Amino acid sequence: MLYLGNTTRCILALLGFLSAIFFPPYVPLAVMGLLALRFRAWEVLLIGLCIDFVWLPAGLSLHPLPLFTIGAFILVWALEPIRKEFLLR
Amino acid sequence: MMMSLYRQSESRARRRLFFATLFVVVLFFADLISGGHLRALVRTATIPVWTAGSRAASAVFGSGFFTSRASLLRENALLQQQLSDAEQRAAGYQALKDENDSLRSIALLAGVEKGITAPVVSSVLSSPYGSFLIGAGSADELARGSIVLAASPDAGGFVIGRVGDVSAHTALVNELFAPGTALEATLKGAAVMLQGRGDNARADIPRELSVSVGDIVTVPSLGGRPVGVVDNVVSDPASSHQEVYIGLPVSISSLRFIYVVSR
Repeated sequence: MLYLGNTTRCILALLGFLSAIFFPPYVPLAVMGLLALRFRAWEVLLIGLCIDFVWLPAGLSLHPLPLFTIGAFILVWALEPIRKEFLLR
Repeated sequence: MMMSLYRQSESRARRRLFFATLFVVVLFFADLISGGHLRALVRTATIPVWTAGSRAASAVFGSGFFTSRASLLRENALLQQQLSDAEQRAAGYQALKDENDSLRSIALLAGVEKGITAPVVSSVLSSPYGSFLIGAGSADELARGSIVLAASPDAGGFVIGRVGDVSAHTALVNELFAPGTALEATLKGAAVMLQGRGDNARADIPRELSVSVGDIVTVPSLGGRPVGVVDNVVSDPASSHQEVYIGLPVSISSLRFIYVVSR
C-alpha cells in the first residue's frame, strides 16, 4: 500500500514538472492539487516555483505576482485539515 | 506504540514540509536579489527537455502511427513498410516546408527592418503569464524591451510582444495580449485601450466608430506598427459602446520563428 502510494506520488510529481513545460497551466495546477490533497507533498512547492521561474518575468516589483508559488503554499498548508482525511495510514 | 510511531512520522513529515517551504522562500528571494540568475538557469535547463519532447511528439504523430493504424493492419507487410516510409518522408517534407514558409515570411521582414531571426524554443500555451522562450540572447546582441514580430504571409509583420528577461542564449518574450495587460492602441484613427486576454485582446469603443472585421489595430508607442486585426464586433443596441475583439492574423501556437527588431 505504501509502495503504491510512493509510486503514485513520484508519477504525479514527474507529471507536474513535465506539464509545467508542455501543457497549458491548468494541467500542472490540477496535478499540484491532486498531490497536495493526497500527500503531504513538498514537491508541490517545487513545481509551483519551477513554473514561476520558467514563465514569470524577473523583477523586483513582484508584478505580476508569482501566482503558482503562492498557490503552492496555499495548497500545501491550507489543505492540511482536508488532507488528514485522505492521507495513507 | 502504533499511535506513537504514527505521531512521530506525522511530525517528521510536517517538519520536512516546513523546511521545504523555507527552502522555496529562500530560493525565490535569492533569485530576486540575483536579478533572475536562478530562473535563467531553470529556463536553460527546460530547453533541451522541450526540444526532446517536441521532437518525440512529431516523430510519433508525424509517422502516422495513430492516424492510419487500422488501415495499415489491413495491408501486407511490404505495403505497411512502404506506407510508413512514405509517411515519414511526407512528414519530414511537410516540416521542412513549414519551416521554409516561416523563414521566407521572416526574410521579408528582415529586408524592411534590422534585427535577428530567433527560433521559439518553448511551448507558447504553457505559460500562465503570457510568455514564451526564444533561442537567442545577449550573445546575439538581444536587448530587453526589443520588439518581437511575427510574420504573416498575407499581412506582413505584426508585433506580438517585447523581449523581457535576457540570458546568454535564451530570452523570455512577454506577449502583448498577455492576460491582464493594458495597451494603448489606435483603431480607425481613434485611441482605444486594449485589454489582453491571452489569445486575443478586447476593447470597448464608442458606437459611433464604424469598425468592421479585418480592420488593423496599431500601437503608437511601438512605432505605429500593427498588433492585430479586428476579429469580431459585438454591438448591443442598449449600450453606448461596442465590444471589439482583436486577434493576430497568425496562430501564435504554430510559430516556429520570430523576428526581433534591433534597438
